[in-house]
Amino acid sequence: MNRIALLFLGLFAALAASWTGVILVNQGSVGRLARVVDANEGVAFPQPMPGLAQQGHLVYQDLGCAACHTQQVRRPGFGIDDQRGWGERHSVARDYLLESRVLIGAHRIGPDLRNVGQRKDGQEGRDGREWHYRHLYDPQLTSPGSVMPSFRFLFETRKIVGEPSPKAIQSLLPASSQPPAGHEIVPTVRAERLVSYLLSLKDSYAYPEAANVYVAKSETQSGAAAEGAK
Amino acid sequence: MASPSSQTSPAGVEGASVDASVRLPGLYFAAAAAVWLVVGTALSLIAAFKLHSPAFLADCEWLTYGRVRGAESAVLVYGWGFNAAFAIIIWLMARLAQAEVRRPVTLVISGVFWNVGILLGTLGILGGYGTAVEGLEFPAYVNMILFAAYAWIAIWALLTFRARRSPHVFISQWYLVLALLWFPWVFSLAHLLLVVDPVQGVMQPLVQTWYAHSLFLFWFGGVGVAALYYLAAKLTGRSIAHYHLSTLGFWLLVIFGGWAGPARLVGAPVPAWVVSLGIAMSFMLLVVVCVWAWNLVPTLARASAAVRRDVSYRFVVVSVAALLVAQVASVLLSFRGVAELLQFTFVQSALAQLNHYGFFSMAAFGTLYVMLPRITGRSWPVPSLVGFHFWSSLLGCLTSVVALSIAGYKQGVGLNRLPTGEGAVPTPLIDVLQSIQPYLFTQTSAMVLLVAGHVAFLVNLGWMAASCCSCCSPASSSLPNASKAA
Repeated sequence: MNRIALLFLGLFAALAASWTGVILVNQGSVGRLARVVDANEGVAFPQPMPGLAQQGHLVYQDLGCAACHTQQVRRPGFGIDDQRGWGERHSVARDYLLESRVLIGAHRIGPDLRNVGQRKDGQEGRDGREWHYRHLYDPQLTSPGSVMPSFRFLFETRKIVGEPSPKAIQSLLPASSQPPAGHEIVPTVRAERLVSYLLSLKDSYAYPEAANVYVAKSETQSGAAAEGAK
Repeated sequence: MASPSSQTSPAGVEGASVDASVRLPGLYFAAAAAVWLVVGTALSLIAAFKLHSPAFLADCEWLTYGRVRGAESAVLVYGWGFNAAFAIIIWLMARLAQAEVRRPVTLVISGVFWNVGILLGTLGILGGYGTAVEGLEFPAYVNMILFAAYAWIAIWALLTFRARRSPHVFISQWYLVLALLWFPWVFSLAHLLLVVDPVQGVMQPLVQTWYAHSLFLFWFGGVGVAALYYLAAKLTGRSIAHYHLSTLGFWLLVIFGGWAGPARLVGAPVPAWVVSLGIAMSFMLLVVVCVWAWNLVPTLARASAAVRRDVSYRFVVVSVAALLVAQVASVLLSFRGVAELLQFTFVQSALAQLNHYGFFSMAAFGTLYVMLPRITGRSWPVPSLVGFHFWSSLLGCLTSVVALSIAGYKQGVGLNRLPTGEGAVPTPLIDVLQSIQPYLFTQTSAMVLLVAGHVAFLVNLGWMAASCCSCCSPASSSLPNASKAA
């Protein structure tokens, strides 16, 4: 064990090989994926997130939401993500093309959020916004027994000056959570951004690579959860 | 001269003078590591408590679960893990090279920069400036400080390696060189590709797993295995069994290890071939595990009854057991059938605990308990605290790993399997999490035990450092004490 040159060269070669194989080769394939232009709609997919949602992505990142939530729907037959209604299809590489920081997550203490915008669409409020405000303010209101912490620090209780704010949410809350008389509870800008981001999470466009792999489940197998999501 | 496989430097004045020269940087890095260990496990305790009592500290944004989890991980990896690794590297490099540490103050200055970086980074994560990238949670500017501080420590270690007096390069030195060279490469590339100029789409999780896997396998694995080889020979006073195989294990680790990271991405939207290759390479690492077992287990088994009572020996035995179990478990968890059930569950947390705490931290404790009395020339001030530290670490780690494994298995079954019966629907996620609450409570108890043990370690170490520093003077700082201890 005295050939030092061999040691250094060997280490460098092994490093270079793994770097080339795992990173460089894939950079040449998935690293260069392009958006798909739908000839019928005349639109390229995936579409960029709205500005407010992009700012919400930063709030999602800074609060560490990825510690509990994944953003990757596994393919049918590999787990039961589809039967939980976590997405109309499994996630594909192209879904993440325009995201500045891809947070696919590694823990499921909470549900997968890749299509949470789709799941909550139409629930309690025009686009599910009110559901999210209630959920963030006190998760027990929407999901009794949940281990998700409250994010009340994303809301402000303030004195009503002049007209009440149209964004006030106390009407959505139970009597025990009402502010003092003459006060209102309004989401902060960060709460608005975060909810906009969550509502933007929906992978509905059927890319060719998703269609090739997807195996449709019968309605019996899919169960009520998937029905609810549709 | 010692035989190559015994890996011990010559005893006597020369070894003692090497030990004495390590005193300042060794004590500094050990103390910094102990402080971060207490901080990190306190954050772990908070996070564990929040899992079953989500209202706990919920109104404090700085301590919301996601940030505490990120800060805890970063503190335990870069605060405790790296400081402990630096202490081990400096001591082992100096000892095995039989070279005194030159300009130890410069190492301490680098260490101060490193720890200021950790402090800024931890506050950054808790304040909401973290990157949310696993293994690279600190804000971008902190990585620059860490890299600069690391560079000098690594250069120093490699210069010491170059200046070695023994013509033979011990297997521990091979593993240390591996760790020292591999880390800056992967760290700088991951920083560039994930933080400075992020790569597109799912290349990010690919780079991240490549980095995280390399960090644990080559940095912590390298330093930890180097320490185990050294201590197994040193404590038992015997040669490493089947020493000639150790080189084979080293090269197989280097060749296969770098490719195994993507095995964690089973089912993720990344190219399937790179995941399959990762699984195959993980499987090949079982050969490396066999070599480690073949070298270390028989060597440790030949220890005398007196050695078996030594706390360092016990830490080493636990570390070797955890290393072997963790490596086999990580291979099993990469198989698609197993990953389908247990991916994203607390079983992954149990494995991380076994790897980082059971293996690396136990190896680090074992080394520090041998190293510190030698470099300070002082025995441990409160011997009972040493025993308390060992048993609390062992019980805490075991309890935590078992509780998380059971919780993770139940979580996996609930999350990924349909209940039996006609027209069954998936179990609601809330019910799944409620069913594992008792195990999460148990894990919190385990964390209390770990915190108590680490506080005992810190108190003992602080006491030792204080008594050492109070007596340190030019006249008393060198040979006599150290040589007595050696």
